[in-house]
Amino acid sequence: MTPPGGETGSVHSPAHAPHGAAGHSNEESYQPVLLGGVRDELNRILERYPTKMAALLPALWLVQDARGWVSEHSMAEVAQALELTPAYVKGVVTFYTMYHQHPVGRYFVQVCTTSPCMACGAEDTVAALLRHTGCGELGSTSPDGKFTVIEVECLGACGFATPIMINEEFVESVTPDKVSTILAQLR
Amino acid sequence: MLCIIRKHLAFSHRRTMPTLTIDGRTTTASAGTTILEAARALNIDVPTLCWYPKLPIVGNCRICLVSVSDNPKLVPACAFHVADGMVVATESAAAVKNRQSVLGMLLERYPTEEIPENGSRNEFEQLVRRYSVPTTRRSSLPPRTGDEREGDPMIQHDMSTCILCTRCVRACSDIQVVGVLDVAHRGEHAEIVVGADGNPEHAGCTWCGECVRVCPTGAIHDIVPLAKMAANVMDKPSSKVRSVCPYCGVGCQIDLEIRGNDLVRVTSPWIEETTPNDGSTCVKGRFGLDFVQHRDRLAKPLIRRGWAKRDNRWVWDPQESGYSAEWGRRGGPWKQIEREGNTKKRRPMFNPLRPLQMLDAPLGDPRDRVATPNDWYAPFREATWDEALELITQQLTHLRDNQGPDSLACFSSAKCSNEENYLLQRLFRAGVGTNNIDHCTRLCHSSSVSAMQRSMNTSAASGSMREVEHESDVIFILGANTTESHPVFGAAIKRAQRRGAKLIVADPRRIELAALANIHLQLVPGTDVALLNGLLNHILAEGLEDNAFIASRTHGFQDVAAAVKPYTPDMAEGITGVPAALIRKAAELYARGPHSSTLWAMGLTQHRTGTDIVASLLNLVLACGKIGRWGSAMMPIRGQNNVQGASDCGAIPMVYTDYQPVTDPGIRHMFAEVWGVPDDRLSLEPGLKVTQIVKEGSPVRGMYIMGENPIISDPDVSHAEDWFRELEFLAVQDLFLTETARYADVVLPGASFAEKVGTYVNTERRIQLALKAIEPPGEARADIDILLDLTRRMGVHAPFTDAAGVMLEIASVTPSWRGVTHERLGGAGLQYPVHDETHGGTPFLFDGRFPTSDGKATLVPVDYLPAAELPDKDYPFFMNTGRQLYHWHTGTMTRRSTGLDSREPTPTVEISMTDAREMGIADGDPVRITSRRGSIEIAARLSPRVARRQIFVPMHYREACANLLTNPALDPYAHIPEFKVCAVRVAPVRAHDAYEEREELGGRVALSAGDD
Repeated sequence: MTPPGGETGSVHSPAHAPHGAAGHSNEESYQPVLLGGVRDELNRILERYPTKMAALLPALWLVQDARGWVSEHSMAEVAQALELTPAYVKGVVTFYTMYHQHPVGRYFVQVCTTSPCMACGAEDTVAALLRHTGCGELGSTSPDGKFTVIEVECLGACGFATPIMINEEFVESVTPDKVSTILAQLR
Repeated sequence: MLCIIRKHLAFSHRRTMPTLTIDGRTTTASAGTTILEAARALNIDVPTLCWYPKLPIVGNCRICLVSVSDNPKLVPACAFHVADGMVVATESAAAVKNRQSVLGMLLERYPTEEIPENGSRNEFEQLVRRYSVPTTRRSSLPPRTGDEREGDPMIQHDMSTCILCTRCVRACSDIQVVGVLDVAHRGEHAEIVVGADGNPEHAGCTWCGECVRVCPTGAIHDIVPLAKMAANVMDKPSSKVRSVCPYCGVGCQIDLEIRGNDLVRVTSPWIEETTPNDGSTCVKGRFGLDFVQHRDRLAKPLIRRGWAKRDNRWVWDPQESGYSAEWGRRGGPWKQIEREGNTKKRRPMFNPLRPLQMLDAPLGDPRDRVATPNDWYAPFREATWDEALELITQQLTHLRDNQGPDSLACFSSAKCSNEENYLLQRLFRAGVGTNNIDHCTRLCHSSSVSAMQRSMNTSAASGSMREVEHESDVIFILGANTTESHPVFGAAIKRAQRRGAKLIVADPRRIELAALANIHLQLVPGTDVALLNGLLNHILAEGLEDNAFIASRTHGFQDVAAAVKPYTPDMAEGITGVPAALIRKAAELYARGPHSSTLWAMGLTQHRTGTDIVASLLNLVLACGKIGRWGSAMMPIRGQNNVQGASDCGAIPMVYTDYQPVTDPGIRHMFAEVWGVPDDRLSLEPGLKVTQIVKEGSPVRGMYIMGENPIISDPDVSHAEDWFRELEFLAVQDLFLTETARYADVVLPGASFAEKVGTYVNTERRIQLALKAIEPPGEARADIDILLDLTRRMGVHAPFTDAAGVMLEIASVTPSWRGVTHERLGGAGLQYPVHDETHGGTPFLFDGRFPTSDGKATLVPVDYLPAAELPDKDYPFFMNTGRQLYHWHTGTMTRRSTGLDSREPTPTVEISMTDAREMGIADGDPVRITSRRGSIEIAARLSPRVARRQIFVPMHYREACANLLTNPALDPYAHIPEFKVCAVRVAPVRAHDAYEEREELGGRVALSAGDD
C-alpha cells in the first residue's frame, strides 16, 4: 500500500464538464489515479462485467489500493470513467464501511471486539494497540502516519480470540503482551 | 364466427381492463395501472410523498399504503397494480394508523417547532395536519443534515427539513438527466449529497431548479427565503399568473407568483398539465426573470437633448440647453463598442459560489457592472408620451414625404408578441408605405426559411418536440447546442436517448450532446454541405433511400443524385475532417431509422452558404422520406420566444402574414381593404432586409426599432454602430437604454412580457397566450398601446382596444391562423394551421402532401463552397460564435439578472488545451483576439469542447463583443451573415497589461476570484 498522495484541497475539474462556468481546469491540481497500470487493470476488470456501472466496487478497490483511501476527487474520477454521476459514486462509497473516506495509516489494523473476543479480553488488546501504535483513539492515525486502529464486528475466528487484521494479513490469538512484538515487525 | 369474436373480445376485455372497487366506488382501469393511478382518476386523494407523476416509482416512503381485500398486509398504492375484483380502502383504520406512524417517524428528525400552529407550510406538513399527528414529538436525534449550497444565488438548501423522499434525486437524473444529487451514507446518517464534494458546479448542475420544483418540504428551495413568505404559503398560494417564458423558442409555460406589483418568483405548472415543457424550466426561465424589475427599467419616454418644440414643430437645435457639442448629433459620453472591446477585463471567477454577502460587497450591487452606466442617460431628457409620440410622428411623416417611404425602415422584435409585430408591420406598410420591415430572424433562421420555402413552401417545423422525445428512433442534430440554447428541449432529447433513441450530432464542438451521442460528426466549420452530400452519397450507394417517397412526393431527385455523386465519404472526409467510416455509419443509422427526426439551428444557418447547407439537409430528409410521419420531425429549432410568430405575422420584408407575398396585387388589395388604406399606399416592392438596411449606401435614413439591439447583434458591429450614428432619425422602443437605444432621438419605455397580454409562437408552431401579471414601471406602457397610439397618429385606422382584438384581425387575414382567438388559447395553446373555429390544430404536417402547387417537394442540388474567410498564415484560427447557458443574446435581460450574471459574469473565449499550452496561456488569462475587422480582449477558458485551431466566442458581452470580429459576408438568398466562421489570430496579453489593477477599483475589495 502506498501512502496517500497527490491530493490537495477539494476542488477539481468536473467529471462530466457540461458547460458554462464549469469548464475551468486550472483549479488546484489533482493527480488522476486511473492512469498507466491502474487504468490497464480497470480495463481488465471492465471486460468481466456486463455494464460499466457493475464494475464500480472493484474500481473503487483499485483506487483505494493505489491511494490508500477514496477521496472526493477520486470519486469524481471514477464516476467519469464509469459514466456515472459523482453523487452516485459517493453514495456507494459512503454506504460501505470498508472504503476509507479519509487517509489512513500505512497499516490499517482491525480488531475484533464481538462478544467471544470481548469475553477473552479484546478490550485490553485494543487499548494496547492504541498505546503502542500511538494512535490515541480508534479511527485516528498515528503521528508517524503508520497506523490506524479500528474495532470491527466478528472476524470469524472466535476460537482464536482476539484476532486482528493488519491490512490483508490475519493474526490470531493476540493478547496485550504480544502487541509490541507484532508492531515491531512492522516498524 | 361472430360469437367467437365476441367471446374473445369479452375475454380480452376482462383480462386487460380489470374492474375494481376503491372506497366503495367501482371503476375499470387498464391492466398495469397502479392502485394510485386508478384512485387519482376517481379524484380519490391517496397521500404520497416519494411518489411524483412521471418520476420512477420507488415506493420507499410507505405513506400511500392502503388496505386491499384478501391481502393480509397493507400494500403501497403507488407500486401495486390493480386486479380484477379488487376492493381497496384508502382510508381504512389500518392505513390511517400506518400513515400516522410514518409521519410520526419522519417528524422525529424534523424541526417541528417551525411548523405554524394549526397550519402547515408545505406538502409534508399538510399531511401531518391531515392525519392529526402531534407535532410535539421530537427524538433526541439531531435534525437531518445534507450538503448545503452556501452562497448559491439561486438555489438554497435547508436539509434539516429533508425527509429523504428522493424526489429531487430522481427529478435531477430522470427529468433533467443530469444527476447532481444522490443519497449518501446510511441508516440514520443517510442524507442528500451534491456531487462528490458538495459543489454543484463540479457535479454538472445547470441550476434548472427541477429539484426545487419537486421538493415536498422546501428543504431545497429557491432563493426567495421562506422567511419572507407569509406563513401557510402552501395552503394559500399567492396570486399566480400563467405566462410563457420570454427566452428561447421552446415556449415553456411558467407561473409568475405575484405579491403586490412584484414578480416574486417563478414556479412550474403542474407536471401533468399539457404544456410544451411538462412544467420544467431551465435556469433562465426559473431564475432569470428578475430583469423585469431591474432598476434600469425605463419608466418615462426620453428625448435626445437638442430637440426643441418651436412654433408647434419639433426642430433640432444645437443651442438647446443640455446639449453638448462634444457628443455630435447622435453621440454621448460613452465608449463605443469597439473601444469597450479593447478595455482590460476582470479575471473571471472560478468558483462563483460565494457567501451571499457578495451582494452587499463594497463594490455595491454586482449588477452595476453591466447595468446601464449613469452617463448614458446624459444626452436625454425625460419627456411626456405626447411629446415623444408627436416627435416620432412628425419625423416619420417628414422623411416619408420628403425622401420617400423607402427612406424609412423598422426592426420588429422576435421578443415581442404576435399582436405587436403585426401592428408594427401594419403601421409601416399602411402608414409609411414601405416594406422595409425585418427583425432578427434575418440573423438566425432566414436561410432555413428560404431553403424550406424553395423546397416545400413551408417556413416552420413539420413536427413537435413531444414526438421527438417519445417516438423518434434516431435524432440527427446539426449545429444546435440544445442543452444550452434550448435546455428544456435538450433534456427531452436526453430522455429520448435514455428511452433508446440513437443520437447523431454534427457539430464542430464537442458539446454536451455530442459527448453523449452515439455518433459525433466533428466537422471543420462551414463544411456542412460536403458532409451532408457525403451522407446522401453513401445512402444512395447502399440503396437506403426511400424510393416510394421519392417517386410519389418529390421532384428533382435525379439532379441531386447526380450532384452528390462526387461526394463519396472519402472525398467528404477530405473536406470535413470527419472519418469516412463515421460518415458511413451515420448515414446508415439515419436512413434505417425507421423514425428519424432532423433538428438544426444556427450552426447550419449562419453561413454565407446557409441556404445551401439547409437545402442539402432537406435533400437528405426528402431522399430518406424522414418527414410527414409521426416520429419523423423536421425541426429548425427556433431561437427566440417569438421569432416564428414575428415572421408568421409579416414582420419580414417580402411577405404579409402567413408568408403571402407583397408582390401579389390581389393579396395587397385584401390587406389594403382590411387596413382601410388605398391599394397604392402598400408597396409591391419587397423591402430591405436587416443586413441591407444597416449598410453603407443603404437608402434608409430613419428607423423605428422595437425591442432589438443591433449594435451588439449585427456582424462587423463597429461599422453598424457608425451607420446608426449617421441616421437622420432613430426611435427605439425598449425596456432598457440599450447599446442601440443610446443613439436614439426618442426612446419609448415598453412593457416586459409579464406586464402585458400577448401571444407567442414556439418552435413547434404552438401559439400560446401569456397573461398580464404586473403593471409596467412608472409611465411605461404596454407595447400594443404605444403602437396603436402611433398608428392612429400616422392616420391609419386601428379599430382595436386590446391584443385579443388585434388577434381577430390577424386571424381574418392569415389563412393558417383562421381559427385562432385568445379565448381558444388556454391550456397548451394551438399548433397552427388552425383552419377554423372548431379545428384543434396540427401537431405534425405533410402527411400525404406538401403545401406546394402539385403537393410535391423539390430536391435542389447544391455544391460545397468553403466559408468566405478561411484561416491563413496571419489569422490561423477559426472563430465560432454562439450562446452560453446562462446568457441570452445581447445580454439586455440576462446580464441584469442577479443569478444568471453571477454564473457567467465575465466574457470568456473557449480555446483548446493544446493551443493554449503552445501559446503559454493558462485558464483565465487575458488574450487578444483579432480579425480583419476588429480586436477584443477577453479571458481564456481552456476547454476540451473546441477542436484545435478553433475558438468559440459567446455573443452576449458588450465589453468583448464577438461581432466586432465577425465577417459580414452574406448568403445570397437569405442575406444572413456568416456569424459562424471567420479567421482570427489569438495572442496572450502581456502580464503587466493584464486585467484591471486593484487601484482602479479605488482600493476596494474586488469581486473577482483573481484577487483572492
